[in-house]
Amino acid sequence: MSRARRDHPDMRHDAPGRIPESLIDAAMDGELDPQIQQEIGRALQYDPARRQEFHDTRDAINALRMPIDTPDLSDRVLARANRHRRFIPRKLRQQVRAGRVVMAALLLTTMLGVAGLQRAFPRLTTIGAQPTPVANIESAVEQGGQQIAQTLSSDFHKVQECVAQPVRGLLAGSLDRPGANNYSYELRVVTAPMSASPEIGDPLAALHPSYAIVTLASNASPARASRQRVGLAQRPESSGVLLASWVSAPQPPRASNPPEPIDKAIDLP
Amino acid sequence: MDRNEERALIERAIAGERTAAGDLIRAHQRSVYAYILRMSGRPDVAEDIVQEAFVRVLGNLHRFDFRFRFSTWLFTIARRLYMNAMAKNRPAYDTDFVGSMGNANGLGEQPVYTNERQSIQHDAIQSALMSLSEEQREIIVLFHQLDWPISLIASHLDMPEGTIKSHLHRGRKRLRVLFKDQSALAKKLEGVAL
Repeated sequence: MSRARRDHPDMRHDAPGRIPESLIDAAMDGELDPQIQQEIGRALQYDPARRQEFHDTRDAINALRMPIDTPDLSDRVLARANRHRRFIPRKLRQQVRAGRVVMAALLLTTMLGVAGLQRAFPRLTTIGAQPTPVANIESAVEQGGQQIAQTLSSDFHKVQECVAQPVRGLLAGSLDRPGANNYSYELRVVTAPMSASPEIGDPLAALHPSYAIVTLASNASPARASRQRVGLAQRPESSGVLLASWVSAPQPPRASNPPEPIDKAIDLP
Repeated sequence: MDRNEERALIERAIAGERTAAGDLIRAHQRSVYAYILRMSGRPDVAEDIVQEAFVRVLGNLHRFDFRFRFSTWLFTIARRLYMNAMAKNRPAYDTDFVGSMGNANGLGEQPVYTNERQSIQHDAIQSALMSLSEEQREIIVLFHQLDWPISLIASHLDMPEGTIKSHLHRGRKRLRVLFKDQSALAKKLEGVAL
């Protein structure tokens, strides 16, 4: 027996004349050098029981190492990989990734460009350069307001010119009355549309667009203030202005000469 | 195939070469199929698991770290699939149902052996293997059939090398006895049949 075999720990603790099983295991594990393995092989000839075990183990391992008929799975694997889109070539994967990045960059650049243009040229990028309903309403209101203002201004001046003189004449009579110095006179020309007022005697007055209010206020006693309204109506069929006046309450309790209602037509200039 | 050749093949497969992917499958399918067949004892299960393992490997090939062995990665995936399948006691892969629909002969398919003696021995060793514990069976297959070193098996199974050796020695002893019994039984049955 060689020195290596004697040095093996199992050699010292096994039954005399028998090759230790652990030594056989070590040989089968490939842990022993070839020289020792050859010695074990020779020793097995003198240990029939161990030799039989060794041969049985060798048979089992040989049966285990028998070639196995393996089906070629490559086509099936590739078909399944393609079907489930798991096997994507690297180039295609890179292209898809690059495409996504480019798309995102383009989208971002476009948005930034539009934002920049909008900032630099607000009118250029205003959506709806064409008239929209809202723009129409706004412009219509604006234009209508201007037209109304012009019309009112024109009408106001026209009425003022038409009315000023007659009213001045009308009030001149009142000034001659006794106690007239105690009254102040105020002429207000209102160009609001005149509604059908029961105070207006002339039905035409209800149609005219404006009227004047003349108020006589007593400086001495506000309670004695009297108000005269002078309705102005422009007859549709003529160029004259109907001047109507009436006295409205509160009346001065004892006016020596109460103002007489005036109802006369004045020709427009 | 050495590691440089394997690396070149993997890089070509990553680049989208279908033939390279096919070559890669053909280079490894025998060992991984044998491993799963020995573990499961069922060719249909082995085929399903091996196909699924390759599908997953190809889908993640661009993530492969060349510092490791491709076969180790493949075996790890196949083993995990096998463990999942055994835990659920059924094939549990989304692609299995689609794959099996197109292959009517897939289920119950048995390997064909040209030699009848080989067939008997195959049945005997498979029966003996299936009588071992899961750890013993796996270690014996990896060590004796696939020639994996103890250190690699320890790494693959996440066990100390001493534990691997212990399982290997006990499993091999049991396998010897079981295989002898199975072989004797098979010979008796063969004699009766004749």
